[in-house]
Amino acid sequence: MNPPRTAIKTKRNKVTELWKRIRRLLIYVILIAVAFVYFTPFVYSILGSFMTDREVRAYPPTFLPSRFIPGEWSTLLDNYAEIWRAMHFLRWIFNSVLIAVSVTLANLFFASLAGYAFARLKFPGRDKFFTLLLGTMMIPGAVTMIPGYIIYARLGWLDTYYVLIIPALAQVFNIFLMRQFYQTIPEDLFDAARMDGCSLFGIFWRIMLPLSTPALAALAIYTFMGQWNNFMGPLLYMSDMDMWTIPLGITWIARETYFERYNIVLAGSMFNALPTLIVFILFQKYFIKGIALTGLK
Amino acid sequence: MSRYEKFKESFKGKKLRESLLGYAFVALPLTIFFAFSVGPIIFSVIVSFHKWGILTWKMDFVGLENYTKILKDRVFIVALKNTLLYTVVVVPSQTLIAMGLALLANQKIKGATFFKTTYFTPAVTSSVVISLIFFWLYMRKGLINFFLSFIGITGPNWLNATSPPNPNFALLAIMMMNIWSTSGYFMVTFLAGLQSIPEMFYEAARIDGASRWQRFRYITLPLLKPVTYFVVVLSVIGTLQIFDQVYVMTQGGPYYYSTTTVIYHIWNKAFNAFRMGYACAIAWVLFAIIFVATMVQKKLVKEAGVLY
Repeated sequence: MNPPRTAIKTKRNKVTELWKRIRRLLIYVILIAVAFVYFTPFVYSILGSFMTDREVRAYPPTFLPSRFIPGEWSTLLDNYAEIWRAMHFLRWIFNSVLIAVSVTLANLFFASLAGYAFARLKFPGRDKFFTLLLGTMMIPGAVTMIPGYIIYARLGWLDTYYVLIIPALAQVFNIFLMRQFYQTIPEDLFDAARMDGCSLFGIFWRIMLPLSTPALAALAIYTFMGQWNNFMGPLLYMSDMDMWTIPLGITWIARETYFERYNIVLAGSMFNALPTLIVFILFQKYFIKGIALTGLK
Repeated sequence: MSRYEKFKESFKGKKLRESLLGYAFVALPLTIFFAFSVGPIIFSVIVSFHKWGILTWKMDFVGLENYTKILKDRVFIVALKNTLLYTVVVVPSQTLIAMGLALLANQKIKGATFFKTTYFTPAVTSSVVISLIFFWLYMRKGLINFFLSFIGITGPNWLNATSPPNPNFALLAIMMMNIWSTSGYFMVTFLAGLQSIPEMFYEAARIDGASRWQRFRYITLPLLKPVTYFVVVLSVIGTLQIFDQVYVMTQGGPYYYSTTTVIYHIWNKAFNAFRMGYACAIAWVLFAIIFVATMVQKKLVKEAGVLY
């Protein structure tokens, strides 16, 4: 080989190598800067939930709550104790848990059954019903919220759990998600099971359901989160404070009882934010799964 | 075979079982769906042609009056302007940011999962909590203005700024907060799209001597169009219906309906002024706007030959 040529080549390689490194560094700088923008509000509000009234409103801002100093540890959880003792707060947590859990369980059952029927069972009108289901997803909630209110009022459901649970038992989005999933399971599997004499329900129960764990996990997570964070529902249908859920409760607390006492409000917010955050960190891959299933088909 | 015969056929012999089971499986969801979606939708059309105060339970037919009143409703015009401005600013910003972040995180770098998780966090947090946190951060003497002071900007009293000639700071504040909170979610959507592009396309282009820019321009961008379409449609539908953030942070204020959005106005008319018929009429106008926006996007996309 020709020595000078190699020299040129290695020089060029060195330049591109350097350029590659700079590019990579730049990407990291941008991604880390953005991560900082995303982290700061959360970390700062966790810190804020431990601050005293004075610290939470100090300027320039305080970052380390004085209660973190070893000698002050006895007062560390004062804000949390205060919000915990606040009127109705325990009841709001109970309501949120009850509604979110029951709606999630119901959707796991009913949406997977319906999704399976729409994907794999043949019955007259199947596709028409499904198109109708999807079609109404486009209509904004504002259209149904007023007649909905009137209907629930007539049924005597206002200020009861029914109003938030029964209409949400089988959500269209979940049926759609499960149908998409069951369609990805090869029909051969279905036919083979039938040949072997497995009943239609048996196919669903013994073959389809076990295969659909990832889709069910995505469904459970999204449903739970949607219910847990639901604000407008309780706002419209619950006037009795004992029937409120956490999002509605802390909004009221922030406006009335603890107006401008951000530390207490932040401590209350943690009870709303932490459960979903923990679920997210534990089951991350299913969140992405849900997006991939419904978004890209 | 006529349709009726076909229908009858599917209830005979072996098929009977499957048909009945199918109906059994969808019975409850469909009942709920007709009772609490289709029913209210039809009811809503009827109510929109009536004058109806919730306290009296009495409906008076007024024809198109509710709809003609909308155009003369000054607050509605302001609310519509706010909502459209909000959509026009937020949708392109979050789409571009989400796409940019996805492209960066899709490079073979360490810690991609970490970045993805971090950016996704606001998407799993309740809109109320995010609004309450930012209510605090947007204080006149709060964290955001503290950071702004580093670059020599004296930040306004974001959520309580006085009326014009000052810009509408409160609406801007809600816009920025929402760009922040939803970009991460759409970034993950874009990432899923990017990862579904077969690597061999890039390899083939590389062999043909395509530059990095050319590969982006002629492979990534065209193949990303369906995802982009999906993101834009979702984002438009979401932004046109913003409510929670306004309710928690500004309640439509701080001065003359400066952050009142269409949904907030509907809510206000229905549940504070108890004008149910009129509120339903506005809701249908909003539906028309969403419908037209979606159709226009679909058409644009079809003309560009994006949807296969």
